[in-house]
Amino acid sequence: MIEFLAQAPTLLATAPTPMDEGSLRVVLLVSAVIFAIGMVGFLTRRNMILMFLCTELMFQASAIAMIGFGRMHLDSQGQVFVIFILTVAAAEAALALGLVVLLYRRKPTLDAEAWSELKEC
Amino acid sequence: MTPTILYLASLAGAVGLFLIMRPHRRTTRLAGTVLGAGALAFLLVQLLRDLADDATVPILEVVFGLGGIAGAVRMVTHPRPVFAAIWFVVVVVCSGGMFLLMNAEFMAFSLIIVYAGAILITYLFVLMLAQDATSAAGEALYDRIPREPVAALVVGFVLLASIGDALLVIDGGIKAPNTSVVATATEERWAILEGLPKQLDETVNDVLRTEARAQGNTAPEDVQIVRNEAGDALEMSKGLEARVKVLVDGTERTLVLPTSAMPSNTQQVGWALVAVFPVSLEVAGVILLMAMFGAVVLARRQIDLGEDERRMAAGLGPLLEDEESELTGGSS
Repeated sequence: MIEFLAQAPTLLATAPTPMDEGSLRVVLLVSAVIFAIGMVGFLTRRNMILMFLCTELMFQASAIAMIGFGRMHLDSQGQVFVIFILTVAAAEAALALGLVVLLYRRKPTLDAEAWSELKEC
Repeated sequence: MTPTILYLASLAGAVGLFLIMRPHRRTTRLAGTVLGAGALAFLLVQLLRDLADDATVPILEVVFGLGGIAGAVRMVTHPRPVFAAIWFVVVVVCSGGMFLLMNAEFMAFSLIIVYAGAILITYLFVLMLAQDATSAAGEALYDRIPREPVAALVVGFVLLASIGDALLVIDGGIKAPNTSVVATATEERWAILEGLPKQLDETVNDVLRTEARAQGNTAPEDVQIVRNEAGDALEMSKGLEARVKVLVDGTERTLVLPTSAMPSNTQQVGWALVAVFPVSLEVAGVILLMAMFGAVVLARRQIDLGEDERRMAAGLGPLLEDEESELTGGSS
């Protein structure tokens, strides 16, 4: 353990190496699949909070793709963009949950169908 | 990988996910799980079969990826909201593992701390605050029955087929770039050291000290780094070595910096944040501040219910049954 910790600074300072083709493909496939599942979840869940959680799932998928492309080009801009995604996700969580609490006070259910009259059709 | 394989696997995955959803019986859901997992495994095998023969199979990526996808499926289909939120933590942890494998240590840990630690806890708070305590075992009816699953699956998996097409099929998929990227990346990485004078000093002193210790001498006292007119100390050689000219006790020498002195990935991210995207960083701060104000304003707003409406919400009848106007409330 101590030896591993002593190695840690050199582990972190790895020189840039080209990305393995196979891992790039796996990462891109996983991000596409998680994005699609998040989309399906957003459309099928009726619980308002879980609908927002499914958008977080889609954020997560796009973050995986960003980091993957950043690793592929050996560039840190992908990671910087993920930091901004995290920021937007946090802001969205705060505002969306505030809205949900407001709606819950008006009609004591989390079912999104309760507000379907807003569709006007 | 041919497009047909991708489309067939997407279709099988859609059918599998449809069968996993709630109103089906337990055996049907099991069959759906098997079908979905089979489609995914088929897709992975097809994807990795095209690689060169000497390529290694990225086992850890596959493990974390399958874990993340399983967590996502379980989150989308779980009938109890709190458990769905906890399955989302599995997705976050798995993608954190993938980030670690892709040399993004800082993002991996900050993802787990910020997402699993802060955002998810907020979601859990609101879920528990707003959960229907009336329904049996915490499963509300609207959580058990999906809304229009067929249409949603068509949309979701047409999306998957088109994204997969763009990423993995057209022109043989996205290729990892050749080694020329490594040269520019190495140069950029060393150039960060130029902006960190203290670290450069320490690195040079470290190199001299180890050298002196190997020869049995004491480390030199008077060390000065020679800079050119532009103020740059580092020189890149063709072999991607970073060289620094130093004055040691009055004599000029050229030192080759060791690879371990190269700035780490985390330093590179920090450098990009403050040196390349400073305005975006400020804007992100402003967005967070505004979100906080918005949340406070939204959550503080009181909804004026009349006295009778409040009684109705509590499950009691109106006090005065014959006067309809009292129901509109707000008069008292």
